[in-house]
Amino acid sequence: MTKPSWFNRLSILFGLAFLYLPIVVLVVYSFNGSKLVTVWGGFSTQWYATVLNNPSIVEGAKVSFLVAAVSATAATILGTLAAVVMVRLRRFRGRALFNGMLLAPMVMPEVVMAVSMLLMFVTLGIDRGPLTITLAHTTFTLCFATVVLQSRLVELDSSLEEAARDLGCPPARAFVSVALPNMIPAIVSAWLLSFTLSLDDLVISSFTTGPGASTLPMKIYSQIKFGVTPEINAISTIILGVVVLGLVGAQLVSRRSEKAERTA
Amino acid sequence: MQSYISIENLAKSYGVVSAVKNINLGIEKGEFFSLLGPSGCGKSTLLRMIAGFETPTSGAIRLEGADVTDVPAHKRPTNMMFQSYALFPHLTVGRNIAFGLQQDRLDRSEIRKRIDEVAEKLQLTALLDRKPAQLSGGQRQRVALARALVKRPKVLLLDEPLGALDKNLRTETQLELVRLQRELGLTFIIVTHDQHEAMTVSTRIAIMKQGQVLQVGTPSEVYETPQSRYVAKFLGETNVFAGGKAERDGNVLSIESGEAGGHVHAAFTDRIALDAPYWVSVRPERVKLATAGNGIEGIVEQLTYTGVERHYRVRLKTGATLDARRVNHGAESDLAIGDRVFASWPPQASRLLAE
Amino acid sequence: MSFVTTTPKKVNWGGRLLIAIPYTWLLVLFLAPFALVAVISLSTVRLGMPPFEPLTAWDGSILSLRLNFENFLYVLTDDTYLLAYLTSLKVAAISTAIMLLIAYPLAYGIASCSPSSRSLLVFLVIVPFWSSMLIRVYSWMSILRNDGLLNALLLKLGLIAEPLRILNTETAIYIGIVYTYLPFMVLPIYSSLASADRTLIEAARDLGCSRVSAFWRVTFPLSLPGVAAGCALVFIPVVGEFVIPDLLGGADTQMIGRAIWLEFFNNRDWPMAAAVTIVLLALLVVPIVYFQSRQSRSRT
Repeated sequence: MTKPSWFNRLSILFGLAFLYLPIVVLVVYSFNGSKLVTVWGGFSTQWYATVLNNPSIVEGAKVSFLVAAVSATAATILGTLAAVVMVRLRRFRGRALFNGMLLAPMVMPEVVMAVSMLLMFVTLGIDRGPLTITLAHTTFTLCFATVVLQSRLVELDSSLEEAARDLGCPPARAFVSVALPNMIPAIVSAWLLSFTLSLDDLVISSFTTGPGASTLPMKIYSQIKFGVTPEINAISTIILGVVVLGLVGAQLVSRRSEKAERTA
Repeated sequence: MQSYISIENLAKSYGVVSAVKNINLGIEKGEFFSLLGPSGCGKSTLLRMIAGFETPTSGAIRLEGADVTDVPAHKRPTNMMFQSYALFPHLTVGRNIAFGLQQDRLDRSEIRKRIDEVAEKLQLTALLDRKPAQLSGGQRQRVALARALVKRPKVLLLDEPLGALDKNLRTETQLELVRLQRELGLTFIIVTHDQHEAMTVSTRIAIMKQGQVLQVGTPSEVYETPQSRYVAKFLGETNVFAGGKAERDGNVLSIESGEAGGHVHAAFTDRIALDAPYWVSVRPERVKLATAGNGIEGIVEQLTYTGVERHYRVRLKTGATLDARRVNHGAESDLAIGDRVFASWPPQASRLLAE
Repeated sequence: MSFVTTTPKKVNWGGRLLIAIPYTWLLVLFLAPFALVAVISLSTVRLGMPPFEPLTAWDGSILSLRLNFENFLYVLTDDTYLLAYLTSLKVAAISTAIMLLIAYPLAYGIASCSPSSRSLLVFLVIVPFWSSMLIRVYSWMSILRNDGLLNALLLKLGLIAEPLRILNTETAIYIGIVYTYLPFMVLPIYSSLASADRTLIEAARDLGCSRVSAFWRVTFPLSLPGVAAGCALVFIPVVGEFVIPDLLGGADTQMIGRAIWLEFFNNRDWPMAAAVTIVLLALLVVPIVYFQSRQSRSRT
């Protein structure tokens, strides 16, 4: 497997083309002056203007971003605790159950989780709204965050923390001053992953929301049900742009910090 | 009088697996003490229990009389030099060394003073501003040592510290460690699987096997007077024959050995019961080979030249083998493969073993 | 930090708190809710909030327990529901198979590149996953419509005379699912291929295998854990998928995710929806447990 054969190159090309084609179509048509997909009405940014002036969409975006930011932060914090528990503590009662609960959301169909969490909120008497959406999002993104953080923690040499403890640091401080700094890229990744999953979620939001609180995907979904409109292309491209910028930014930051460590 | 470090009935098991079984050891102040054994014998587990990273399943550890068994690692007056060095990659050498002192809340000038002191002692002064990734293996090792020593621990624990170094550097470093230890007057406990290392640096060695201590003694004690075949074979090399009927003639025992195919001589001792199974052990360097005379008869089967020595493997009439060694004095070997030889050794060179 | 399992002499409160926080969260918001779903599936629908009857009633001296099995009886005997379950399983199985055929060569191709190209390529595979799923599904709507891009292209090229009806059919669902879940299949397979020991292939070649034969006899079997993980990661969520069948599928394909949604929002019959969910969980419990056991074996 030293050099990719023509078959390999073709597979990669075909695969990537398949993945990116619809996105490219979307972006291109968001600038289409005409409403119809089949007709090119000249380059235009009118749809962007429509979108940004639509109070409903803007409101939805605000709710989505707020919920995503809070739930991503909560998921990352809980995920870090969970990763430490799974990797550093050797055995404790209920470890198998804990492990199972941590992994299950990754494969569980969204409707199942959505239904169950809604019923829990109703039973507990919590008013449904942005708070319940946030709680629900934290729970389902927690497993993804934990996987990312756990993989990184497993790689870290535990003898570094032991050395810190040996030199007088209490265990908690040893973790914070030795392991955490080396986990920053993973923490950022976990946060971004949770943020994106939350931002994008439709099913769980729909079930766990209350009157008046609508997330952006919910708004987009109801608009789609009315019919395909070019504004949706514009919204989509904006969201895409934000995500790509975030990803590229995160990559650059992690590359730069790696470089700094190496050459200081 | 109690020892400086006292390990009492210490045991550690993980579930059904027993890593350390009922160990009793006393280590005195100022010793360079080795825990020697093959991998899996429990020596690292024992060291980690002394350091405080593992909690014993039963037993106690005392330091200067005080029970430290329940004291967590960060509060114990011990410091460890890790096998992988465990240098903090995001801190400079200077900050690495300062780390432990900062936990002790010493004031800045004191910290500065101590760092400079230890850096000078270990030739690190020029490297204080570098990061670990920019150092060589030997340099990193010195930083790890400096970081532990700067806290002036009561006991310094070393976990296979020289494994990553190449041979020449290793020998140098072993002697360095001994010199440092004597100069600073500290107590060192080192874990190693390398018997040469243990013999070189230690004041006393504890040989471990499967979670237990088989024998404790100075290097010459354990080498010259092993108490079991395992210990005799673990340190250096030896020939072992089963012993049979023994006749005493003054201070010399004449032992019939079916395995060797003749009589071997040993100094009389009443420490071994000769009517129970016992063995005779003799080191290859004490065996003399001659082309004629009294002795165990055999044929030279293999001859190895290592530069320093010549190793002979002799096939005896009984089919057993006998190893002999001669220091190379510059002359060619007077024995060749296929020669008939007679092996003998002074009675004091024989060691009788009950197990 | 280690826990003494036989003779605890001192309680480690810090460690216990550490475990307690995420554990409690998951118990309350993940595990307990499932118990609730089971409980409510045995209830009866009513108007008002919450839209289901309580299971117990206390009249001052008698505690009575009312378990309504009607929902389950209905779900398990009604043709529409049974068809929905079967369709969901069928669609999930076929999509997984198709996805495997596309993902494996892609993963293999990436794994055969130099390490620096590899990370770029993996990044490229992940980026679509990070952009909104809803939006990507929506973009296929634009493409697959009767007056959409695909038909326009085919008509222009003269390959067809009339627009193909793809949107709102089962075919569109397959396209949508394969497209959306592809990264979930590619990454595990790529991961196990990339971490494979190259010297094993060399040994096979040395012993006389051709390149193709070495692939089938050495590389492919070694990549099977990645394949299994990918299949589990795709099959299980797809069974309960809602958005894709809703937007891309038509009335002729009823999947269970949509059924649950409709019961909840259109019929407001929560107990029924809960019962449907329980049956779905029962169907999936074997694959889920299988996935869990594989993951914990490979993780610690």
